[in-house]
Amino acid sequence: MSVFGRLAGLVAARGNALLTAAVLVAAVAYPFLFPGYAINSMTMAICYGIGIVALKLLTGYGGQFSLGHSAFFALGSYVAFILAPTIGFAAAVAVAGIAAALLGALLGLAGLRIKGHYLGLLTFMVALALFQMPKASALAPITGGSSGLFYRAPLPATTPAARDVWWYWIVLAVALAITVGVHFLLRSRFGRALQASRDNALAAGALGVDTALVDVSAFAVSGAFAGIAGGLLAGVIGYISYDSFPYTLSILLFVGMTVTGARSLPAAYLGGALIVFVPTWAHDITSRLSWAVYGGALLALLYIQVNAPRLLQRLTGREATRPVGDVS
Amino acid sequence: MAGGWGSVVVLLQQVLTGLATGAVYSLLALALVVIHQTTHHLNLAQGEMATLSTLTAWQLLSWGVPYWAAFAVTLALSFAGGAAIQRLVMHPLRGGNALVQFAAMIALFLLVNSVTNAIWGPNARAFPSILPARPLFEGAPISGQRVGIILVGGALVVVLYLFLRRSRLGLNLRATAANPVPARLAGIAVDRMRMIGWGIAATIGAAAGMLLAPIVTLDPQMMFNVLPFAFAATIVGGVSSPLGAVVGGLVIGVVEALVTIYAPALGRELKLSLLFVAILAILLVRPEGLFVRRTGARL
Amino acid sequence: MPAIAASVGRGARLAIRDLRVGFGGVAALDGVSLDAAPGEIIGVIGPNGAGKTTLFNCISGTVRPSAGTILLDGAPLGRLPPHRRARIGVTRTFQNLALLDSLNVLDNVRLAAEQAGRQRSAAARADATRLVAALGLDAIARGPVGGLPVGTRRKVELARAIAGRPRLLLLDEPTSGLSEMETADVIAILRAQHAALGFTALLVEHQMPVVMALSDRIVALDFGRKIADGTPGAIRRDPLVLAAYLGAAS
Repeated sequence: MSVFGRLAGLVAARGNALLTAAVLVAAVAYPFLFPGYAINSMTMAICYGIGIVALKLLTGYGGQFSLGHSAFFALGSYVAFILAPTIGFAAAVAVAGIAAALLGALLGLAGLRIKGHYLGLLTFMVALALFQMPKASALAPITGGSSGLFYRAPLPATTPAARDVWWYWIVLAVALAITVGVHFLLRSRFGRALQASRDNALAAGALGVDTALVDVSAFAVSGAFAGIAGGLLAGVIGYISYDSFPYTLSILLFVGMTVTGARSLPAAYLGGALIVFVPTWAHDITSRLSWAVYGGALLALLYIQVNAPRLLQRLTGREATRPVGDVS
Repeated sequence: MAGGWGSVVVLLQQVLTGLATGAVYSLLALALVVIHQTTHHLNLAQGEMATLSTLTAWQLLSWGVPYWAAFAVTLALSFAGGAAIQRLVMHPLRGGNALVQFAAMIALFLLVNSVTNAIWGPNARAFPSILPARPLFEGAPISGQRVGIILVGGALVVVLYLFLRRSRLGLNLRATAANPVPARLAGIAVDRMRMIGWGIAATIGAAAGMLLAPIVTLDPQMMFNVLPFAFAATIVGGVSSPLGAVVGGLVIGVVEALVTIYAPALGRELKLSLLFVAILAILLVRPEGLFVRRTGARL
Repeated sequence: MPAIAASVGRGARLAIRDLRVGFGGVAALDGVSLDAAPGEIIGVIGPNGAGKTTLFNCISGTVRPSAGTILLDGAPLGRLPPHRRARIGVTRTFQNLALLDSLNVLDNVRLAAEQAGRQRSAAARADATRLVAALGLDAIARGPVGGLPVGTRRKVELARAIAGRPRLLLLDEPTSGLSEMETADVIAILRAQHAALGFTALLVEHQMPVVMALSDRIVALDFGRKIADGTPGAIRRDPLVLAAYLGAAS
């Protein structure tokens, strides 16, 4: 085996541990290294990262496609802001999680009937439908209509800069708790059942796994985390309106999940950073075609991801082998 | 106030209007079903591709190309474009799993949408219709252009249906999707079938776009707004049934038109929410679609 | 082995009455009745398309029969979904191997163990570890199941089905694609586990020596009907069975 191959093997085996350590160190050091404006962007990136962790649980491990996670963000943010003045922000975010879990369970029930790309499109419709709802005249008295809602969470800080730092640590703590929680959830009885259901629902059922229950639960849990992330993010920004969490966020979350490896949890936060920063970069390259740049870059990444093993083999001069029966 | 006859005429008018929009939904739904039947994918970018085609047609018309020539050239270009996208974008990613394929379609969606916006800008444009916009005859409950949509759309649906069900190429397309390995062993050029499938779907989408454009606003968002309805049509009709997609599209068009007139507030503000609730209800009660006969055993 | 020993002698009594399954006018099972006493191993033989796998699918609940009943210790399985059947001790292997590729070897077995009983996670894990060792799989227990040779994969499936604390074990061609040595290995494992656990078993198998070696009784199916039912010795000489096999072979 070449040196390169051995190195690749080491990274593959220890990659996740290394990445986790790197992400943690960076997260703790960040507010000291980059105080001021940039901290706010990073707080938002972590919120999106929570959303991607939720998506990895559902899609990466559970095999159910969701292009509707912006809907959980939106629902969570509205529930949090509507309830926060009465029950306090922390409790409101918790209720936001529960509300998002209920929506998730509903989608999970639909997911029992349609799979794959169809489920992806159905959830996309949820993102579109929920986008429309806060503006409806019947709901406007609660949702603030098209002018949105303001809420300033009470924090033990007075200056805007100090508030930003507080938010950073709060969001980071929640993100850590959720990520560690998902990590252990995946290694629990439920996690094994979830992956079994994804791999082969028929076999999982024959082994005693209630695949329907597991799939619906996964959707509810994933929705809850995304809803919590939405509530937090709303708190960080202090203002929400119907277009705070547009359907494009669903797309960005899904892409963030795909390009950072569907089954690597710490990498989710790299995905979150991509959501915050890449559109700006793409816009800097060309404002008219920024989404085209984004789409093109995504295709290039996917191409590398799919064909990397073959390209690597060609690079190291070994015969490329294709599995028998691979004709797709 | 509107008496008995008046309300019947209004109802009839709305049903016919709904059938015209529904015919367009049917067409786009059919495009979705065709791609599904040839590649087992659901093309998220289908609507964006159709918008691109329609704006291409608009460009040809604005250069002075006669209507039917522009129509035909656009269909041909769309076929080539769809096939090219399959060959250049989807084919190199064939080794990826369903997740990768889905992400690729998201990328396509963003790319096509962005390019369309960059070329034509966000402004709405007027697109001519085959038949005049005035009522078909004095006092007729439907405009000429909607009759045109129903006729042309209906004809295309019939042709496609026969093509998929009866022709050899249609059979090969369906065999490719059902199971590519034996299809290849049986001598079917699977890769070419996939290109043709994408080409056909793009062509149908283009036709749907050109029919729809006169009665809605033609801008880069046009088909994006229609795609949820076409998707709903495939759910109503059963995801793998061409006939179901057609019937589903018509049903949704009519229901939408009725909601618009009888519950205007709902129809204007919560159209998509209603649509979603309806889809969810259908999935929970009759997941195989309303028009697919239940089959006994499965596995 | 306390956890496993507790279930010794808990083989279920299986009674199948007049089972019928139709696939669009073609009867896959056409009135099959079958009895198995607790702890009995019944070989199910017949040419391809005779309805053997359909019979298994009916018992494990993935195919709903159009008529007939399946009784486990006298209680009809009715419309019980597959996972509930697994939890009352109906476990199976698959002809086309259905290992879970996301999980390693141990977790494949552990999953079955923890779904089967309401036992605590640690107990299920201990059960799984013991079984994996008993089947000689401990060297690869932490490795992925993808890429394992067929013989090993069959063993993992066997371990998984046994970890589910079977009262009725359905074995769908457990030695298909195996070498002579691997086949002997599987037969030895089945004998040892059967002696220890006392499960009832149905065994679908094309290799007659395997069926003869393991079965207390053999049932022969052809075109969805039962054409013979008797001891291995009697079945070997049964003219109808010979005709069905010769007919299928020609």
